[in-house]
Order: sequence, then structure tokens, then C-alpha cells
Amino acid sequence: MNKIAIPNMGNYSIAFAAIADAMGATPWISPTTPEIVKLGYEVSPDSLCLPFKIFIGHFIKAAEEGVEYAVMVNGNGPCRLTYYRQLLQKILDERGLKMHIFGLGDTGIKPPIIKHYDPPFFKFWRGALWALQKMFLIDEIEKLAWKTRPREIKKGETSTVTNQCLLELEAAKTGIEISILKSKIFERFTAININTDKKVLKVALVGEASVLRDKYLNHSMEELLGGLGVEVVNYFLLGVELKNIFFPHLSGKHSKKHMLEIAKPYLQTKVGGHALDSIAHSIICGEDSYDGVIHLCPSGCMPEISIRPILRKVSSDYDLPVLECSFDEHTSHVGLVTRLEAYIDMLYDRRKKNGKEHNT
Amino acid sequence: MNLKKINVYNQNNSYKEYDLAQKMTIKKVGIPKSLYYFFYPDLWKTFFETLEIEVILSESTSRKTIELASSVAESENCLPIKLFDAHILELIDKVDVLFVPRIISTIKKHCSCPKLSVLPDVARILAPGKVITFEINENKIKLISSLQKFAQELGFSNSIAKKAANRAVNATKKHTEEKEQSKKTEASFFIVSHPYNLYDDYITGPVIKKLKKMNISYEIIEFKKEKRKKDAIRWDTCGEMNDNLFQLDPEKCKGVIQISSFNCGCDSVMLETSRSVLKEKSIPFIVLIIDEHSALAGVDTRLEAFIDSVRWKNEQNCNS
Repeated sequence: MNKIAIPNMGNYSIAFAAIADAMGATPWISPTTPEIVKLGYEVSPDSLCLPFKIFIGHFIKAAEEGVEYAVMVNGNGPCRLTYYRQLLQKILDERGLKMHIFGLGDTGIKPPIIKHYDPPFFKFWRGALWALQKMFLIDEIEKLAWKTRPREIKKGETSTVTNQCLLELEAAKTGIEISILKSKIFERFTAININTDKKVLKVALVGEASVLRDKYLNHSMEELLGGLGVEVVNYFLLGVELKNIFFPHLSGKHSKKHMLEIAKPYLQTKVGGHALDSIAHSIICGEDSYDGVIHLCPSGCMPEISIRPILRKVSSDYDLPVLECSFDEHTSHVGLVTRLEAYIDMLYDRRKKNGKEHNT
Repeated sequence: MNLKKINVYNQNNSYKEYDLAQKMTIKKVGIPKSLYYFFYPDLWKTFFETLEIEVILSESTSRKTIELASSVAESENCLPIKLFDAHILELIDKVDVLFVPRIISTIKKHCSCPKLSVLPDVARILAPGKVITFEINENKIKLISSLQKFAQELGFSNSIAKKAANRAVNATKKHTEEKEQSKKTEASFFIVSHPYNLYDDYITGPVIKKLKKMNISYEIIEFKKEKRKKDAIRWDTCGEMNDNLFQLDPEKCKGVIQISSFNCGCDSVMLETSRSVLKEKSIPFIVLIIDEHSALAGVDTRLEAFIDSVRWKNEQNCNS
């Protein structure tokens, strides 16, 4: 058995699967389902955050299906993520499930996961390169989808095209196939009939990574907002994030150093997690005259909750409406939709009142 | 990127700028009686008094503070952070400046709760242009040197700054030593929590009162802020709490009472660790979770039940 469980990271799961493939392992990936959520919150301590409960849910499900290895990110900041791998391992051991969790990051040049699988050098790096290619392509697809969805004439067409592209990307095995797909994608999105005159709102999503990315956890917020005629910008792009870690001088506007500079009048420390990013991106949105910002975080998330008062100040200074959404396993879909609709209605009214012309 | 000229409170956003304009006008400094006040007992008061700045403390936490806190503070924060906001609001009109340090780490190679690292930024929103701050980061620089630097930045000469820093650090040391000497020898119950819960009378008070009423000897754990041996715990206060639990003697200690504030991020992870440590030693353990709605009667009942069950356990052990 050479299967490895990978927690759901939305569309990026495709890229992770590719990299597991390159290592010679078979990836085990499942979309988050109510069953997984239930498995998760039954075994985890009550006040831990939602991503933990989802992670453990995925791992238990995988272990029950006979998967023996799993992989997740290691944290090293003041965020709770630092302890999650040990805690997850402990819970799995206590339940008598044989599963070893590998941590990524902070473990030297050759992390244990690579030592374990020991893939051939050339094959691994070629595979990793393809995975990276896939990841950047996913970013591209998403960006196109954000732009097209609010303007589409036939509802749901964008989502169909997006899903089709992602499926094909998942099936693509070599660099050439990925490149061919890349050339097709733009055409496919331009083929969608859109209403070019429609004035759409522009709203940014900022906050915690796994809630921003897992479509089950955020109740497909991008699609919901797109349906309401809102152009969404999701500020967690893995491509940007990786650049930030490995090539900070290349990431320009999104580097931690630059973000500290932007956020300086409000926040003068990195806090931990993606808290600094939330503030900096909200300020950028304020300057670029976005219509609004939605702040998503798991309920009780330490870094994101601690910056909320600051986010409110940013909101009032830049005249930028911020909607704060906390998610836990009990968040109701209907409640969320109602809140979003009310928020979007308010944004439309504001635009009418201000007579603000929006450059899209 | 050009920052738009809007009503961003750029003018007074740090002590440096405050200092340039009104260097010698700091006569009264306000210190909220929460969080870092309990982290370093006596330190801040001695420090500012040596610099000949009058220190005004906020009043101890009371029902009124809690009511104010729950109406102004971010609702998902834990109780101590909410109380901090209320203490700040109470002080604002009485003082020239408010002192709010940025706590990154209080022990080397450890870090503090992320909520403590944004305190000055949050306080600045409540009291624009009135906050003086410096960074406590033992990973980079020792507390005594950073205090000295802070005093210099406030406009005091090198020698005065040094004197103030030394005196302040000694005062805390003295405080801890005195407490250790006055310790009762035979305590059977231990109260464990973060310093800002533990030394706040409003939070621990009901527990202590109840224990006294039941004639039970108790001990409150101490925070030494000394170098710890390396282990998996990277949060400073949690590490020390854990060390204290490790040192407990199962024969003398009859039970441990942990006070935890609702939605405390650190505790949500660490309670599991505490529980497993005490399980190994077979010491009974209760967690009292408090928030702004905590009812005293609830605490009373739970404590009574816990202590009764510990007594029964001991009697059974004696009989068998």
C-alpha cells in the first residue's frame, strides 16, 4: 500500500495529487463531506478551530480505507497550527488507527516525507515542475472564472467550463499536455456569452487559507457571489504564497515585507497565520476602490480574530464595507446566503447613492 | 504605492512621534490592570516611578468592567482581552498617555499568544495618539535592555534609563521571591491558569473564596519566566503551566483546578496535554471555563462536587 492522504485544499488538491504522484505515491483525496465533518468533530477537542476538525476527519476516513500515510503543513508561529500535527497523530494513535502524518516545512533540505519515498531525482523534480505548472494554471482558471461568472448570460455556464477544465487538468500527465490545455483555456472562457455592459460589484475575499479554499467550508462562496453579480477576488493564491516562501524578492506587492509596509499605520507586526495579509489586502482593496471585503475565518481563529478590531478601523477609514464571517461545523448555508444577499444589496445601494463609476 | 490622504491616524501613531512633539509633557501614564500588569508584577510601576512619571492604574476588574467589556470588545475574543479593552476605555480621560507593550515572547525560544502581539495596535484604535509602546521580545533582546532603550526613546538620559530598567527588573524578582517565601508548605489543591486570569481577583476570587470557606489549603502556581528545557510547547505561559504540573507530587497534591477562559486558543490545545500529564500521575483535574456570563453559583456547585468526589476517592483508597 503506497497511498498517501492529502487534506482538501479546494482546487489546489489537483496540484498536490500531481506532486504525490511524482513521489511515487498514490494520492488519496476526497472532497469535504458532511460525513467527514462529523467524523472530525466527534473526536476533536471542542474549542479547536474548524480546519483541525476537517483535517482529522479526512485522515480518519482515509485510515479506515486503509491508507497508511498522510501529509500536512507544519506551522512554526504562534498560531495553533504548530501543534496540530502532534495532536492529530495522538488522536489517530489513541483510536488505534495506523497512520503516520508527515509534516511539510521546517525540516531541513530533505524532509522526512522525501526520505521515506526516496523518489528518483530526475523523475521527482520533473513531476514537481509539472505540479507547479498545474498550480499556476489553476490560478489562471480561477481568475478567469471570477471575471466571467458575474457577467455570464446563461447561469452556470462558467462553473461548467471551470469544472471541465479542472477535470482535464487532473487527467493531464505530462508537461506537454498541460501546455496544450493552457492554450485552450483562454479560448474556452472567451467563448462564454457575457453581458459586457453589466456593471458588476467587485468584492475581495480575505482571511484564513483553508476556509478561503475549501469549497465545502465556505459554502462555495465564490459561486454564490458570482451568481449575485459580484466579481470576486480571492486573496489566497497558492502560487503567490509559494513565491512568498521561496522567492520573497520576486513576489513584489505580495511579499511579507511589502505587506508590513502597507499595513504599518494599522498593524506593525506579523501576528501569525495570514492575519497581516488580511489587513494589508484590505488596505489595498480600499485604495483600489473595491466595493467591499469579506473576511472569512474559522470561529475562534487566534490571529484572525485578534486583528478584527483593526480591520474595522481600516473599514471606516477607507469607507470600505467589511463583512465578517466566522465558520464552524454548525454554520448554516441558508443563514450565510441571507447575510451575503443583504450585504450585496447594501453594496448596490451604496453605489447608487454615491454614483460611483466602477472601472473594471 | 501612494497612500491615499484620508483620515488615517498617521500623525500620532507611535511613541516616537508623540515624543518629538510633546517630549516633556508626559506626566501621567496609565496602565490597565490586566494582561501584562499581571505578567510582570511591580515592574511597570517601579519603572515609570523611577522616571518620575506618575502611574495611574485602572481600577480592579469588577462587574462594571465586565459589562463595559462585553459591550465594546470583539465578541469572539477571550475574556482577558475583552477586559483589556474596558480597562483602556476607563483610563483614557485620566491620563496623558497609555502604556501598552507589544508582547512577542517573554521566554527565550518561545512565543506568546498572538492576541498579545497586536495589543498596541488595538489600543491605538480605542485611544488614538495616546499610546506609548515598546516590544518585549526575549528571542531578540533581553527585557532589561529593551526597557532601557524604551526609556531612552522617551527622552531620558542613558544613566536614568539604566537605573529605571535595573530597578524595575529587580522589583519583579523581589516580588516573586517574597511570594515564594510566604508560600504555605502543605497545600493540597493547586490552581492553574494564565497569569492574567490567576492574579485577577475578579476571575480567581470566587474559586479562592469557596476553597477558603470549605477550609481547604490551596496554592496558586508561580511564573518564573526562566529558561525552560526544550520541548514541543512553544507558548511561554502554557509551557510554564505545564512545567508546574510536571513537578506536582501525586502523594501531596489531591487535585488540580484549572481556570480557562472561553475561546482561549492556547488552552484549547494545551488542556489535552495537561489532562494527559495529570492522568499519568492520577491526580484529579477539573477545568472551570469562564466568560463574561459566568455565574458564581455555577462555579460554587462545580467546585463542591469536585472536592466531594476527591474526598470520596481518598476515603475509598483508605478503606481498601
